[in-house]
Formats: sequence, C-alpha cells, structure tokens
Amino acid sequence: MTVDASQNGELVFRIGLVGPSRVGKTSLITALLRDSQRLLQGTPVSLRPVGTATEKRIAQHRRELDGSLLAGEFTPGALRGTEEPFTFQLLLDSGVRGTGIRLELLDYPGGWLDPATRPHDRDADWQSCERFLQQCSMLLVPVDAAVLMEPTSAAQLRAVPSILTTPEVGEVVRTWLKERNWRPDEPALLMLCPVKCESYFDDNGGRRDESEELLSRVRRVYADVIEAVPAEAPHVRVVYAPVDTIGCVEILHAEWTPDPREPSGMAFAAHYGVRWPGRQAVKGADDVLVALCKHLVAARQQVESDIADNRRATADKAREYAERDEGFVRNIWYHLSGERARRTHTALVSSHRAGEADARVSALADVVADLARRDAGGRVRQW
Amino acid sequence: MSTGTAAPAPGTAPAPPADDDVEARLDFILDERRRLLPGVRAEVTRWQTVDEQLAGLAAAVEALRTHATTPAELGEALAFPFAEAREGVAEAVRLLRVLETRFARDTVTIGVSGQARVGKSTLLQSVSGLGDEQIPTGKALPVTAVRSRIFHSPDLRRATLRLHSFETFVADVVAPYHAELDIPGLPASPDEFRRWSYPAPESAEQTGSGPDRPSWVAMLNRLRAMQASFPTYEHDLTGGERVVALEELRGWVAYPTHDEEQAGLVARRYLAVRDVRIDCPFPHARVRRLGIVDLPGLGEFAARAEQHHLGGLQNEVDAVLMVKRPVEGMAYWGDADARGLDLVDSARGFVAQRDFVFLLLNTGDTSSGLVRALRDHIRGQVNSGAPDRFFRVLEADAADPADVYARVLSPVLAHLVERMPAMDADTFAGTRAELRATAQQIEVLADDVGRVLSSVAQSSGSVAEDLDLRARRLRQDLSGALVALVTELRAQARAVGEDEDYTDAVERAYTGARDWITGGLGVGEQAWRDEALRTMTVDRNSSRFAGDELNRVRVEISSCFEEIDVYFAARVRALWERIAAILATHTGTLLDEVAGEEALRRFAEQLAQASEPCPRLRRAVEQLLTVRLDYRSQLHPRVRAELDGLTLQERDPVTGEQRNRVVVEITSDGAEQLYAFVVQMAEQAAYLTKKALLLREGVTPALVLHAAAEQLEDTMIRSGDSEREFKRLARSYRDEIWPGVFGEIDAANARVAAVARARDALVAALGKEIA
Repeated sequence: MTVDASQNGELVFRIGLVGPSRVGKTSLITALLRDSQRLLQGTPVSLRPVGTATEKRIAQHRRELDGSLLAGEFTPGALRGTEEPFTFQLLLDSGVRGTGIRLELLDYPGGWLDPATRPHDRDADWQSCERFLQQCSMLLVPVDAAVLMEPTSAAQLRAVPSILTTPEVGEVVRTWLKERNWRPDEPALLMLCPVKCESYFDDNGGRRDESEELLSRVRRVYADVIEAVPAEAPHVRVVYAPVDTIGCVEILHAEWTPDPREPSGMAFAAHYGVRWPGRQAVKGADDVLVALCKHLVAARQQVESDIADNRRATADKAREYAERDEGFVRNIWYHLSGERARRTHTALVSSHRAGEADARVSALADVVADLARRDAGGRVRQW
Repeated sequence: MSTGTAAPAPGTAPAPPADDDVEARLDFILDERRRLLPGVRAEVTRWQTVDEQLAGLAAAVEALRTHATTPAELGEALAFPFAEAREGVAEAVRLLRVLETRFARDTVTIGVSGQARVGKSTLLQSVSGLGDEQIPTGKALPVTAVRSRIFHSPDLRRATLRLHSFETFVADVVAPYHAELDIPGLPASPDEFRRWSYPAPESAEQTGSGPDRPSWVAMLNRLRAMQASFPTYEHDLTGGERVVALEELRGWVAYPTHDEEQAGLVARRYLAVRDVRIDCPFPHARVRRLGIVDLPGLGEFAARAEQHHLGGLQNEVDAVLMVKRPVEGMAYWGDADARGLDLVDSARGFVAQRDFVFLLLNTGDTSSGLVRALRDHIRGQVNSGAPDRFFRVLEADAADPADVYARVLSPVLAHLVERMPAMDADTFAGTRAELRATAQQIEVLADDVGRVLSSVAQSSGSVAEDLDLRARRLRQDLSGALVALVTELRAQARAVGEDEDYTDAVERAYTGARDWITGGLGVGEQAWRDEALRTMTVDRNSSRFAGDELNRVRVEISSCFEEIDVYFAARVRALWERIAAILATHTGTLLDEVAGEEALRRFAEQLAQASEPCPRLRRAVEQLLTVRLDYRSQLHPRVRAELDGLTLQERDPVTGEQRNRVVVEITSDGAEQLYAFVVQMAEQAAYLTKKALLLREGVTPALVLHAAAEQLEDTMIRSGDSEREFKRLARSYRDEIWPGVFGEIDAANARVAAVARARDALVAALGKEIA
C-alpha cells in the first residue's frame, strides 16, 4: 500500500486486507461507510464506494443485510479462504474532483503467499498483489469474533486457527512486516479488527460483557502475528479495534459440525437473531476510521519533521522531491498541504470557484486532522 | 509322697511297747501303718490324676499331631512315647495299691504256699484249730479249691463267703479257660454258658484241631466239668457275701473227692466262691491280730492258677511260709520247688528276700532221713551251702499245733515284729524310687512337649500380631487402590472440556431444550400465536402475555437442563461403585452380595456397629454417600444469569430506565412477531446456558467426583486415627475380611493351647507330691 496520485489526481491510500472469505470484510467496509456518515455529519467531506465492482458488492451486501434484519435473523455463510483478489475502492471525498483520498483495500488469497499452493496461472496477479502489499503502510486483519468465542470443547478450539486461516494471515503479516522494516521512517499500522462482536460487548445493546475474554482470545490466537511485530518491524503500531458491524444482532446458537472438506475437519456456523426492533447500530467502525486518520496525520507530521530536520531551502524543492513519488510520506504531505490540489486545479477551474475548491480541500485536511485528534474508543487497545 | 521313713514323725506317735510284748509291738506296727494310709491313698489319687492328665495330654498332642494343617515336621516332633509313660503310671498306681493294701491290713498276715499235698491245710488246721470240715485235707487229690483267709478271733466262729456273680464268675473263672483254650467269646448269661458248645476232647483229638499238648485236653475237661456241674452252683452266683457256719464250710471250699467224681454229677459250689474269710479263735495265739492265708497249691492245674497265687501273695501277706514236705521220692529241692520259690519271691516287692519268705519243712509223717536229706538239699540248692543264707528254713510237724506254734508261728512273728518296720520302710522306699523314676520320665516328656510348643509359638507368632500386620496391609492396599482412583479422577478433572460424557449430557439437555423451543414452545407455533392473540386482545397489550411466556420458557429450559441430573446420578453411582468395588476387593466377604451405594451403606453400618467402632472411617464413607451432583443446586446458580435475559424488561442503555424488549401490535402479525421474539430469546438463553455449562470452570462433575474421592482417601488413610481404626476394623471383622484364616489359626492355636494346657496340668499334677 502506498499513496500516490490517481488518474483524477486523488491521493491513493492503499490498505492491505487479510482474512478468510466471509469473515466479514464487506461487512466491515459497509460498517465503515455507515459509521462515516455519522462521523462526517456536518462536514463537506464524505466517504463513499467508488467504482462499479465495489459499489455492487456494497449494494449487494446492504440488500442482504436489510433482508435479514427484516426477517429477524441471519446466518452468515461459512468462512472460507479468499479465492480471488478483490480491491475495495472508497473515496474520502472533499467534493472537489481530484482532491479526495482514495482508499484502496486489497483482499487477496492468503494461500498465494505459498508458491506451492499458488495457482501457476496466477503468477502475474500475485506479483501485482505483492507490489500492493509492499506499498501499503496499513494492514487490516478482520477476525470473526464468534469463531473465537463460541468454541466449548478442545476439538472446537483446535479448529479455530484453521477456520480463521490464522497461519496464512500470519504469513501475510510477516511478509508485510519485513517490507515495513525497509521503511523504518514511515509510520505503519497493523489493525486487528474482530467483527460480529455484538454478543460480547454490553456497550451497544448487548447484555453481556465478554470483551476481556475476546481480547484474550485474539491475543492468544494471533500471538504469532502480534509477537512478530517487535521482531520484524518494531516501529509498526498495532491497534486492536473490535467492531459491531451490524449492532442489533446476537448469536442465538452456534454449530460445530464435522466436515471432512474443511482443513480443520470441522465447520462452524453461527446463527444470529436480530435484537428488537432491528435497527442497525454499528459500533467500533469509527475507531478504524480514526486510526486511519491518525495514521495519515502521523505521516504528515513525519514529513514536516523531515523538512525541518533537513532544513530544506524551498517548498519547490520539496515539491520536486515529492513528485518523484518516492514514498507515501512525501505524497501525503504534498497532498494534505493542498499543494497538489492547487497545482492541479488552477488551470481547470474558473477563478471564481477556485476559492471554494481551496476551502473544500482545506476542509478535508481539517476533517482528517480533527478525526485523528479524537480519542480511541473504549474497546480499542494499542500495542 | 514322703517315703523317707515308715516311722511316725517324732512327737506325733506313741512310744513303741517293750520288746517282749509281741502283740503290743505288732499292734503298734499295724497302727503305724494305718497312720500312713491316707498319704498313700492321696498319692494313689494323685497318680490317677497324673494318669488322667497324661491321657489328656496324649489326646491333645495326638489331635495336633494328626491334624491336616499341622506341618509334617511338627507332626514328627510331636511323636512322644505316651503309651510307655502311661504304663509307668499304671505301674506306679499298682505299686501304690500294693502299699495301700499292705498298710490297710489290720492284721499281720502270713501266707501259706507250697506245692499241693505238702500239708498246707494241715498246717492251717494246726494254727487255726479248725478241722477237716473247715479246712479240708486229703491223702491223694488236691482238696483246697478256694483261697481261705483265716483270722484269729477270740469270740467269732464263722466263715464269710464272698460269692461270684455270674459276671465275675465268667470273668474270673470261665474267661481264663477260654483264653487258654482259644475259644472265642464268652457266655453272656447262665443259659448261654449252660448251652455253650464246647468241643469234645475226643473230636479235637480226631480232627487234630486242638493244640498239640495234653494240658489242652485236661483244661477242656475241666471246663466241661464246670459246665456240667453248673446247676450245682448256679444258684450261688449271687455276688455279695454270705456268712455260713464253720461246719458247713467244707462244701463251699473243697474239690469233690475222688469217690464223688466217680459217682457222676458232683456239686462244685467252690466255683461260686471268690474267697472265704474264716474268723475263729486260734488255740495257741499270742496275738489277736493275726491272719493266715491259704494260697491254693502251686502247680495246681487250673487256668491262671499261678497268677491267682501271685496276686494273693502280693496283696495280702506280710510273709510267706513255703511248705515243703520230704516224702518218699520227693525229699529234694526240685525244679517245681525252685519255680515256686521264684514265683513267691517275685511277689515280695521291695521287701528283702530273707524277710519275706520262710521255708518250712513239714517233718510230720515222714522219716528223719528224708527230712535231713531235704534239709541238706535245700541248704545246698537254695542257700548256697550256708544255713539260712538267703532263706530261713523252719522245721515243724504241721499236724502238731504246739510244734507249729513253737517252731513256726512264734519265730515268724518274732521276725516280723523285728523286721516289719524295716520291711514297710523298704516297700515305701522302693515304691518311692519307682514313683520318682516314673515322675522323672514324665517330666522329661513334659519338657520335650514344652520345647516343641515353644518352637511352634516362636514360628507362628500370635494372632494379635498377625491381625495387626494384616490391618496394616489392608490399609496400605486400600490406600494404593484409592490413590490410583484419585489420580485417575484428578486427570479427568484437569482435562477441562474433555469430559466428553458431561459434554454429551449437556448437549442432550440442550437439544431437548431446543426441540421444545423450535417445536412451538411446548404447544405448537400456531396454537401459541392464537393464544397470544387472544390474550393480547383481552389485555389490550402484549406485555403480560410476553412476560408470562418468557417466565414459562425460563422455567422449561431450566427443567430441560435438569436432565443432566440423570447423567450426574450415573456418575456419582459409578464413583460409588468403583469405591465399593475397591473396598469389597480388599475386605473379603464383608461386602459380599452388595455393590455400589448399598455396599457403602452397609460398610458405614458395619463401621458403626463394629465391636470396636471406627467413627472416622464411618464418617469418611458417609461423607462419600452425601456427595450430590445435581443441576439445580450446583450448576443452575452458576448459569442463572444466562436465563436472566428471558425477561420482558430491560434497561435502556441510554436512559437507564426499564423498558419492554418487545412491543407488538395486537394483530395476527404481532402475534407472529412476538412468537419469533420469544423463540429467539429462548434459543439464545438455552444456547448460552449450554455454553456456560460447558465453559465455566469449576463445575464439571469430574472435579466434584475427584474431590469426593480425594476426601475419602484423605480421611480413611491419612487422618490421625486411620491406623488405629484400621486395626479396630480388622479386629471387629477379621473373620469376614480374612475368612477362614483366623478360624484356622484359632483352631490351630487352640490345638496348641490344648496341648499346652494339658502339659501344664500334668506338670501341676506331678508337682503336687503329697507329703
């Protein structure tokens, strides 16, 4: 993941997304979109899906979710390893064309990391994924909280890493960490995001608080991932942010059934009921957005710090440096300082609208800075 | 028995009379003897007791020796010569009886012995003054058939017959002939004897069935004569005594004469007479307490004649006059005389030879040459050439009362006056020496028995020690088995989540609950919805119905999970069965025919009712029996919170106020909606309950069972009272816990103890020597 300019002149912020299929990545992104509306209310800034593929997927998910909520219950499909890469495209939109921040979240099959399990005809795709991974400074790991929390027997507990594809996730993270280690001057963020957490917190309509147990289990199951950070790339920040992706559901019962087709030999299915009256109440997605904004701001501060340290003579020289696209930090500074927008739009818009555009660009920067200043929610842990 | 002296102890007896007063001196001697009699009799009793104890010891040793469980080695060690010892005791008693008889006599008694036809009866007539009617004499055949005891009595003239009963007649008279003639069996009644078929001497000779000796025929003839004449004396076989006039005596004591024999049927009343006592005044008696015993003739031809002779000599006389008559052709000391003297001599017991036997040469009705010849021959043959060297030889005319008195009675009485104290002392001393030897023999035997007993005791140890050892082992064995069980249960308890049986039980209960929920909450979905609509319509709201239903669902789910109790009960029962089996394995038959809970209850009762109660062990078992695993009391409180969600009201997270979880319209759709809500709530509550039951630590039955078993093991084995109470248990129920072991040990010990007791009794009896 990295940041660069899109064709529209938008800043592109790439985020790696690692986890099994149906873990709730779409849910998480949908939740991000939903919660951003609340967060960005009253600002000219919005977050929205862009691109047909992402829009379709989000729309499909929303329809299914609305149907389920209406029916009063839903049962997510069984988790499975991601088989095809998919890139979610979101735009943190200032309303001025070419001035937004495009968030690209690449979901790619963990199995591709291993040449032995990677299909031969997908080498090109893999190289593409690899490049993406090298460029992104933020890695998001959605975790199915129910898989962690519902086992009641040793056999079920033993099946958890396999169902969550924890080994594959660990491989991706370690590879990413190695890459981050080459860029020690760039802020990097690893986010562990348990999703479908409604049954384990009592801060969003739930009756029971099992948040500590959830945290404990995440730490236990993802111990390899967490412990790899100080070893591989000590400067990477690890943030734990559980998310209620729907908010008004609770597990009614869960089933662990023997399934020889599954690597773990066991299939897990949770059945959710909708908490009356069935109004969605996403919780924790804001923490992901805030963390993202903090990350962006940290990058900017890093640039400013570098500038100060290097006693650079002029902004022009800096701009040249940035335009060489040597890295996310320079780009983010360049972008958030408004310099790029001004340069891009000066020739395109009439002078009477130039002021409005500037204001919008400036507002985006302010919103990001504002969000970054927010305290993390009570569920969040940082290591 | 003190046999140091026959004389009375100084100061307790009167002074002896003057030497020349023979009668007084004899009286004194006889009185002194009587004084010793109680001691002798006590000694007889003691030796009879010794014999009884010896017999008892022999029987006890035999019982031990021959018992199947007695080791062969011990059996061999117990082979003691009891028969020999008892013979010794019998001899001791016999000797004491002789002594008793001797000391019991109230007369000085002189026996008259000798071959037939030497003038014994004549001598007796001379001494007693009686005639042929009382003491028959004859010229040819032997005439004296009954032993007579004749006592000097200045005032009496009578004969007292001691008569046979038929039984004593058979035993004393017939039996010896049967024995001699090898005739099996004895007549049991007079009639049998009358009709007894004795072989004819002729037929025996013809068939050669009789022994090849003439005496056999003679003996048979005698017996046949006794049988033939049985009617003549049968009526006299009355037993008891009969006093008859001296004038009638001959018919009772004399053999039939030759003429009578020839005449055919003869009376043989003498066969009915055991013996006769004659009291009459002796014409020349200078002593009152004098008796003469006529011993049937030596060499007389009758069964056991010599034994009878000897018996009389041993028991009844103080001295013997052996009469020898030097008639023509018999004026020498022949073999028959030598054998007769030997026989008489053998009866003297511990008395010196010279003191006991006097040889009397009957000089009457013979020539002086023959007398001299015999006198010389006797001196040479009997006294080794020196006069009176071994035996004093007297000479007198037996038919001359004055001569008999002067030359026989007077010197013999003088001798006895002189020598009787010494003779008594010799008898006493000899008897004592014999008793001492016998006592020593028995003491050695008792010591030997004691040594063997001591080795038995050392090798086997006591029952108490053995029981203690067994109690210790029982405790160790139970400890081992219980520790193994506790270890196994601990492993199960620590494998939390791996208690598959428990998981299955919980899953079954959960499935039951879900089936109830999804099957329409016990009434069917449509019925429920109809009822909901009806109730809501009446109430004009949904709250009451929803609230009531949630309460009902909560109770029902709880009930479903109580099904776990079936599993719990099985687990507890299984634990009880395991522990009961362990107890039963190590306690013999104590818990036979019971198992599990029943066995534990019985064990607790046994511990309580033991002859030595074991309260600590009993409590341990009772505590185990109180172990309960049940959902309601142990699990439900822990999962109660999961069912709390099954209420209609909840707290609004924003306002903090109570609000209804659900409010539906009072319509069919509302009822459907409410049904879905209740089912969902119920499903979730059931699921959460199941999850809590499976996940919460500290509630698995394995932990409870492990704790219960550990508590039992701790209390039974490790408590301070444990060792003591195991000993009590062992003592109280040893025969049940180790069946047969102690019964046999006890029996074996009892056998050994019986030997020890018998030995102690024997030693005690031996030790009570009477002074």
